[in-house]
Amino acid sequence: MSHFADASPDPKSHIKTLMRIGYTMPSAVSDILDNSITANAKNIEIHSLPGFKEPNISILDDGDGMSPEELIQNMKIGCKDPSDDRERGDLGRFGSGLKTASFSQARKLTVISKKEGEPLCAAVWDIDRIESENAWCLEILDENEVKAHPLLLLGSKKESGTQVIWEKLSCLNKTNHSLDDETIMASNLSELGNYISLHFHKFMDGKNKRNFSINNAQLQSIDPFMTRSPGYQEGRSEKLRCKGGYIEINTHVLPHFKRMETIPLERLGGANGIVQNQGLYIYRENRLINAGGWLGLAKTSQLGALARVEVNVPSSLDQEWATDVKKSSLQLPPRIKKELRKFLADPIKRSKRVYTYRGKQDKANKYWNIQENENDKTISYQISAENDFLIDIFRVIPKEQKSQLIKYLGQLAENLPLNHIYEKMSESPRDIDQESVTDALLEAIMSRVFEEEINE
Amino acid sequence: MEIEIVDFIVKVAACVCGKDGIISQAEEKAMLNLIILEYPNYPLERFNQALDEFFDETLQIEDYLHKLARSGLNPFIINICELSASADGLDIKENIALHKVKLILGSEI
Ligand SMILES: Nc1ncnc2c1ncn2[C@@H]1O[C@H](COP(=O)(O)OP(=O)(O)OP(=O)(O)O)[C@@H](O)[C@H]1O
Ligand SMILES: [Mg+2]
Repeated sequence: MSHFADASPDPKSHIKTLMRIGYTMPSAVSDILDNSITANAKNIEIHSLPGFKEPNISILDDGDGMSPEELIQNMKIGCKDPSDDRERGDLGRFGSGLKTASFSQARKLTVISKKEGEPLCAAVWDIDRIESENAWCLEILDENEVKAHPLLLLGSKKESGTQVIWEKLSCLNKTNHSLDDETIMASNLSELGNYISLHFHKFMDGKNKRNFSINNAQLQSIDPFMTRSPGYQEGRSEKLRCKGGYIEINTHVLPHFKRMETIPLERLGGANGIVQNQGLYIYRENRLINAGGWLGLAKTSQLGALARVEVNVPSSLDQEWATDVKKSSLQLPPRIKKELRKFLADPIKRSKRVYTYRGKQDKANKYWNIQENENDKTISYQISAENDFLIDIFRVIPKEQKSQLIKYLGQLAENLPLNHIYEKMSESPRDIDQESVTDALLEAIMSRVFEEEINE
Repeated sequence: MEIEIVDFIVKVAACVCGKDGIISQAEEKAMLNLIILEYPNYPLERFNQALDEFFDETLQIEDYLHKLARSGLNPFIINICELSASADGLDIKENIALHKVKLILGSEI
């Protein structure tokens, strides 16, 4: 007869697996923010308190909080069934985020919480202890211990709220060893701020508005569609009914680079960022999950740089969309791919139009011919022979100089610094200034000729 | 009119249009227009509710059609399925589902 043996995972090795789920620091913090939002927090503060021997990170909210019993239950990994239906607006799914996100960044997780009418409570996961005891031993602090906690920020005045504390940070030693912790922390926090401003931008304005801050500096939303910039174009949109609500699709075309305001442009990664981040913006319950890229539905191209397709998905579709624990990746179901394809052509086409409209002078111009050879798919840039100015010169100069000039012009075209132009056009198109080149040339030639004359 | 009957008609049409989990705006609109034309008193909330229920239920097209057996509405049911599913182009899956409706109901006309 067969029998069963207890083969539950060894806590010591299980915890190692959980620490390696592959969060980045910003995506791990985002998982904590998800919980605060779901708990109806209006103010979410991230702090890294100075003056301690070891660096630390706290995420503090004024949401509903947890009772002591709820806290203990919620500190368990997999405290909720992933297949349970969740309320609209609940950003959770797996009952794991709080723990797995924390363990990916810190070896010690303390959660302090207070629910209305309940006492302040706190529980601690310490990986060092889990490893040394080889057991899932959760430490519960008593009320006095909580109140005396050196990192406590959750005021006793507040009716309710939660503070998540990360200590023994593992996210800091990954980077450059020569830098001190504070410098690394400062750069991590600034990167984190940008990530939150983009991924939670829908929670920073409008009816969902909440306040987010890092070390008391308020974060401002980054709108990836630049909807409030002059020159922005709104495109087609559609609502698809599905299980648990609607999938909403909106298309956007950003303004031309030249019309983009400097600050929003910088915040979206400059012109390079704009080109690279064209594509699909997929939101799950208003939180951005996928920021750009066409996910195989279209090709990233210079001309499509301004095209954006926004897709809003309810969490009821998590299974179909294969949402992962980190909420940082998902897969498009085949049906959605088909539907989305219909929406791509229009913004891409319009992006091309906006893009080339501004570049129109480049196209038909008296000095350059753009030769596109359809058959061998080549393009060449040639100096135009139809230029009156050039023809006048040819009429007056002697034969010998004619061939010299032709040779020179040919070389000029052959040596066009195409790669450099391409690079600069995509990185910082607004830095390019061709207006004073004639003066510069004149000056350079004059001074050279002058020098030669003197030498003679 | 028996309001439940209309609910089932909506769900049959939803089966055909929403074969792969999604009903587009155009399909939904076509469906609603035809229903209102035939049953002007059918409330919009009821229509929305029927569609929400459809996504939560695991019933198949046959199950819904079974509830409509001998309702005498077969031509209308076929019509609404056909027109709403083709509102934004008929794909293979929708076509197969439509065919199925026609087969099952056709034998009863
Ligand atoms: N800041 C908070 N305020 C109030 N309750 C919280 C907070 N953080 C977590 N909780 C409670 O703890 C539970 C567990 O959180 P956890 O992030 O581990 O899982 P989840 O949010 O349910 O699912 P997921 O793994 O998808 O994030 C939550 O469902 C919530 O009830
Ligand atoms: Mg969570």
